[in-house]
Amino acid sequence: MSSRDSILAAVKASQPSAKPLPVIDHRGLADQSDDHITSFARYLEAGGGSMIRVKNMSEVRQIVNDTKLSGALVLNLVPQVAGIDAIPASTDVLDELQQVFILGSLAVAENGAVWVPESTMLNRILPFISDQLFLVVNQKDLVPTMHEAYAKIRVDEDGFGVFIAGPSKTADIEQSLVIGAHGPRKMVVLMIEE
Amino acid sequence: MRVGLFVPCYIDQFFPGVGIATLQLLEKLGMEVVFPLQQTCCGQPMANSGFASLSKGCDANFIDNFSGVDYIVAPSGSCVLHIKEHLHSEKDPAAAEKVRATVYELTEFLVDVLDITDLPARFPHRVGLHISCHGQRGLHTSSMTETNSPVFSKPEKLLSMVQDLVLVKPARQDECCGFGGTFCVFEEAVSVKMGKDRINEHQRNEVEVITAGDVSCLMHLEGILKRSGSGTRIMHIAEILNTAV
Amino acid sequence: MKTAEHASLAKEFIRDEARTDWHDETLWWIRQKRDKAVHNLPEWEQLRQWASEIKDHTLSNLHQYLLEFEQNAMANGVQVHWAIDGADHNRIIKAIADKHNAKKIVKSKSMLTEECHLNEYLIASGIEVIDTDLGERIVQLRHEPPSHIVLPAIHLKKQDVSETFHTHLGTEAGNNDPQYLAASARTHLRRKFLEADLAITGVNFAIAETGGVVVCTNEGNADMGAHAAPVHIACMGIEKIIPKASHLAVFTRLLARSATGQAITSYTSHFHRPRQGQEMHIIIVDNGRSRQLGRDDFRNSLKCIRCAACFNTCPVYRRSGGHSYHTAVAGPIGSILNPNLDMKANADLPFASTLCGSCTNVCPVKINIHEQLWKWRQVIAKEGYVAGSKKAGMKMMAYVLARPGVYRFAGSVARWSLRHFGFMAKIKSLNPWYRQREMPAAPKESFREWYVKNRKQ
Repeated sequence: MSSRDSILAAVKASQPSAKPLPVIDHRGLADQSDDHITSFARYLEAGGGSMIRVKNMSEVRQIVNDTKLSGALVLNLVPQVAGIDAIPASTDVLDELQQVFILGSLAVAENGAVWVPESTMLNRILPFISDQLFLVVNQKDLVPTMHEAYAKIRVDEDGFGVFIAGPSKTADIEQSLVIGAHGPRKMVVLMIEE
Repeated sequence: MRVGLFVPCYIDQFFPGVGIATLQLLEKLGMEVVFPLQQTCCGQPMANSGFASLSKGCDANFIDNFSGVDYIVAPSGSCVLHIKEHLHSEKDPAAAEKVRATVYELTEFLVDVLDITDLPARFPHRVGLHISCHGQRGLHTSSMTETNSPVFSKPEKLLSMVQDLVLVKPARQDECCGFGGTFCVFEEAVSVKMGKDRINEHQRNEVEVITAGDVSCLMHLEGILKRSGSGTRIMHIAEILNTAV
Repeated sequence: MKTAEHASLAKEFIRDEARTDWHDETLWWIRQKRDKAVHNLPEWEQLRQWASEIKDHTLSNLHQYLLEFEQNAMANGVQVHWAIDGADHNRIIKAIADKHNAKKIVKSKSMLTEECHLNEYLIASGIEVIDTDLGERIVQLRHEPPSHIVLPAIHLKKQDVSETFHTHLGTEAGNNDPQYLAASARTHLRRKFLEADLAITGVNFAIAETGGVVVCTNEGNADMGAHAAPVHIACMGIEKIIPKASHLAVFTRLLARSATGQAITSYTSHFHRPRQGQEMHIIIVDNGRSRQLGRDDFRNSLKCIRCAACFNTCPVYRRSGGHSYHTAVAGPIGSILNPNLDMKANADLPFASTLCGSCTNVCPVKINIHEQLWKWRQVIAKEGYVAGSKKAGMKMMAYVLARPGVYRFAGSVARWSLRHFGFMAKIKSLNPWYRQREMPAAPKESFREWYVKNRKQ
């Protein structure tokens, strides 16, 4: 018998009689505080990130353009801002990436997380390899908790998707917080009011 | 109300004063208290060591002794929890069931059954409360810092009725003292370190007395206190609640 | 792997009391952060209940969900493998590596691969395996196992890390600054990510209805590895399955809060299909889990989501260190999982607890850990893995305590002996109680004797 078949047979023989799946009715429970934006910003900051409120896409465009003046490698992947920049194929080139601007499709008030699907990051490694990560989010896409978040997204719509709630960090040396363990040393959410 | 007083074996042998205080306190509160003379032990030492199979004799003896009372009360959360969770009888399952349902730790009996609101006691001292795990997490004599549920404490409620008593809580309110039954000898190093750490917190609070609902925790803490030559005393909660005004 | 029993390894750990205090306080601080997060969430206990019920349901339908997961993962273009044990698991990985002629592997945290001793196996085959979680990299350089499943290097001080990095990465001697040390590791590991032929990750959750796996990290090391390498292998135990994507809401709300007090990890990554040009594999491992599934009393240990809250709260773990548990998964949860893997080698672990019950209270999926510790003690005693002297002592005690007359006689003899021959009890080598504690005073009169005199006429 193959490993697969013996494992499945053993599981079938061992598993107890069926128990019901609970009904997850979170609506009555979640603390429906009105001030989701404050909550979002607070949790994002607790995770080492920060939020900048902007009025509209043209303000984001201004930020992107200012950033590009530095001459460092900066990539804009938000189509509403301007044309999407071409992404270098070589990871050795991407290793030099200073800043990347990516559209997040949803944000979560209870923990400061932003959902970024593969279709908006275009190359999976970009949010991780860049020295600084800017996620552009529309305030109307802010939901209270992870329950609403998972109800809105389809996790398998793209081949990959990630909730990002701050920069890369570690506390593995004596519990001292270090920002920028492997990936971004800075993570900013540009929250568009309009 | 007929109460059967259960005095756990090590209290009977080494801390008779705790048994006396419990008896007098219950009598003071108007109970008819009997002490069945053939009682020994709940069987926990064997069971917690992996030999629950050997505690049948203890179980049978316990049931024989305590079948004729309305309530069984003991000054020990740990022994009561053991009875509640593990006392069985193949011969008379109904009698075992009744014992399990009517056995109470002293503070829960005073609060839940007698629902007392005042006590004729005075104890003008700074007291640190050690929360014994089995009473707390097993019998729910108080809320637990780990869970997100309403805060309450039966021992604190009772101690608040004692005149002039100043109650101070350690920084880690409900951390285990490290006694743990045979753990205290088989894991001697960890056991003592845990006890020392509990004591340090109480001593930082400058308490005169450390009290608890379980003598086992206190016996362990007392052993460490005495070795260090400390003047901090240990007293079972029954001894404080039984003080005169 | 096992060098000694928990009690003696713990004793060794405690010898350095200042360090023990530091270890204890650091982990207690994490427990407090967890408490704060928990008390900020009114629905916490409801979430635990849901998580527990989802896991109960899943375990009771695991056969069906494994098939559903496999089918959906394959439809996503992922290659699914099944490993009956650690050796099987290691062979599968080696075969994939050989197919791609992979000589350099980066691996993010996976307690399963620790359990299977994957690193030793691959390194012996001439393949470089780099653990990329900072804590894991530190202990790997020191040739030590992790001492904690979430904080692998929690037993080390920054001076230790500095010395290790100076030796292996050429950092400045004596520079103990965590920022500097972490930055040095970042530079070192960035090259490893970019040069890797293959990346291995663990799995936090595997979604049956979509065939995808979820990996949670703060460092982003799982992502750096998986997105840079041409081949990605995700390793999971059969118990990682959850039925639906919507259940992730419950588990992601519980996981980080329980682990570190964070509301969520920096990265919660959902892998469904390999990226363009990449190959993705998932290895589903049993290694004793189906056996545990069949044990009524211990089945629900398989609900564990590896948050380590039970480690951080355990007063014994905090004062004995992860290595005293001599297994890949230490702490209270390890003490109920490991006897299933090897009962004889791990017979000491269920006894390395006072049964205080704090572990059960913090568990986000409501595993009755301390009750299972008690139950393992019964199984271990029955199987004969308890020292003969302890068994004889227990038999003697049971004999005495079942006989009131014998008990009273023994009690009075004991008290009399203690009063008159107390020095006997004070031989520290014979009486571990007395090593650091005084004996209780032995009164002349037992309570019963007082009672008979004062109450009974």
